[in-house]
Amino acid sequence: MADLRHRFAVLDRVDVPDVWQQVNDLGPRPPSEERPPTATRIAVAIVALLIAAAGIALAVRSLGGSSSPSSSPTPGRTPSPSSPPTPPADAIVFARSASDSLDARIEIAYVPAGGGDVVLMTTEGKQGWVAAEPRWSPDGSRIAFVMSPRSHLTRFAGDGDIYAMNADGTDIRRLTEGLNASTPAWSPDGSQIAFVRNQGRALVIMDADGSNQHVIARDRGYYQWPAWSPNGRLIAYQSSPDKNTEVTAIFIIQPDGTDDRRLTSGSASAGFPAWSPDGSRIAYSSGQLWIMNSDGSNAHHVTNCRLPCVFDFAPAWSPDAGALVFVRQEDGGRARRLYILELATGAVRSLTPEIRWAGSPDWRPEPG
Amino acid sequence: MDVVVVVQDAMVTPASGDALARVYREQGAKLWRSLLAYTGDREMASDAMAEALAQALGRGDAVQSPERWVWRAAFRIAAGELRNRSRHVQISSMDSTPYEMPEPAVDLIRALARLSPNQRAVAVLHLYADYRTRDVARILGISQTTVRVHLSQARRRLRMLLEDEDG
Repeated sequence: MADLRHRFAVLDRVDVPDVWQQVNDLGPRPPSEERPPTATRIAVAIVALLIAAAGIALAVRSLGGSSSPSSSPTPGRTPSPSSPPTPPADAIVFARSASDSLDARIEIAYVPAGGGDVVLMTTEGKQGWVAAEPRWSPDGSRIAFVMSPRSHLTRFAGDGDIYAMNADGTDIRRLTEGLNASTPAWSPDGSQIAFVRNQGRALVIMDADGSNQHVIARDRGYYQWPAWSPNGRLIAYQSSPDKNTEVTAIFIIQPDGTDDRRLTSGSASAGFPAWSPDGSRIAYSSGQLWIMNSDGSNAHHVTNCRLPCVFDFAPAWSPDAGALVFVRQEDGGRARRLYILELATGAVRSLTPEIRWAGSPDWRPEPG
Repeated sequence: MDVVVVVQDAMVTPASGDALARVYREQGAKLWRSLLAYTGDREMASDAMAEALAQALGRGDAVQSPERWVWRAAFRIAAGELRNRSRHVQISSMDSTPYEMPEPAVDLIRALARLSPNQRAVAVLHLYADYRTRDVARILGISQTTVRVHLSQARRRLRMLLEDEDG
């Protein structure tokens, strides 16, 4: 067999993210757990930023990255001329790898809930971008999603910028800058979008045109997957309770940042909250799919994930609340498939063929 | 806490920022890929590297040898994170299939995952990052003899694991 050093050389082909941006987010760390005086911190931060400003361009270039905001796709442009057909009323959008290769590009796609072909909606991956985490606007006319250069991805969803496009894939507009946003969620009136920033360090709300961004929470460990309640009064999200804990739970918070409460307890991680259309229940994932009342009571699992299934996650409700679409990780985690669970019968049917990577399904709402 | 590297008489000045920017520029890709091979997790690799650089920035002139200090801190932080993670069920990491990685790299990382943490660290630092056993010992804070023992075991085990796959 080949020399071991030769086997290790393959690592040189793995793309490297821009970690220096993360260093800036952290700021200089003092030598002990104590924070230095504020004035020192500010001075240190300013000098560090100057250093970063001077060094980052060279550093990123030398690492083969392309994460500066200026390299983002231009807001307001339209995608390639070969736009996909308009999705049907029951379209489920999701993110998927465009081929079976592990290094395939990731694109937004849809599949009819009633069954049918999977149709790719974006083509940005051909230009070295990843498009993921699609979310229908409440009237089903637009789709918010996250896009990022491949080289920038460091998290499972990957920080990027939030974009929105028409349901047919046209009129892509960038809503954020800085490649530090992920997991968008529309408010029920479509006027605002909640998302997380800086690798889950803050929960943020902005107007649907990208203006008026403001942080509503930043105290927990790792914010992910905000979901706005149908009446607009609460946002459910996934996070670890604090920065030193890895197990995640479901929390709810009011959009003004008050009344932050934990809904799930126990030692097992819980995530991917999804409100039922009437707001009375929340579906979520904790290894398999669970449903609880929106006050956290009466939690019960609704799927049974046993080998070769390893993980059921990312549930989304049908508009009539009769079914959940979700992702099942199978074959020891090597493949994924979208499934639909009929809640009345417990029947589970596969919606897509096996896909190397798939995530974030979202069922098209009925037009109000 | 086992993930904090203590440097005696450290001062909170950012004077070593230029040197750290150079370490990042010249060593960043190698360090990140080494941490990826060690942890098997892009997120953990990024976090450990960022935390090490941020700690080095905070220590300023107290860091006499920025390159070695950052490598050492990053591997210790990553080791601490690996220990933490092994104690928890983690949902988010189960969705962390890398978007892109050449299959041979995936195979290598899977094989490395079957070594002990020390064997893995020694193998990555010597066989990939190209550090001599003396420097590996300094980075990991263990004796050179121990490095050689781990390296020998790692080589034998990796050959077996990777040959199995080739077959």
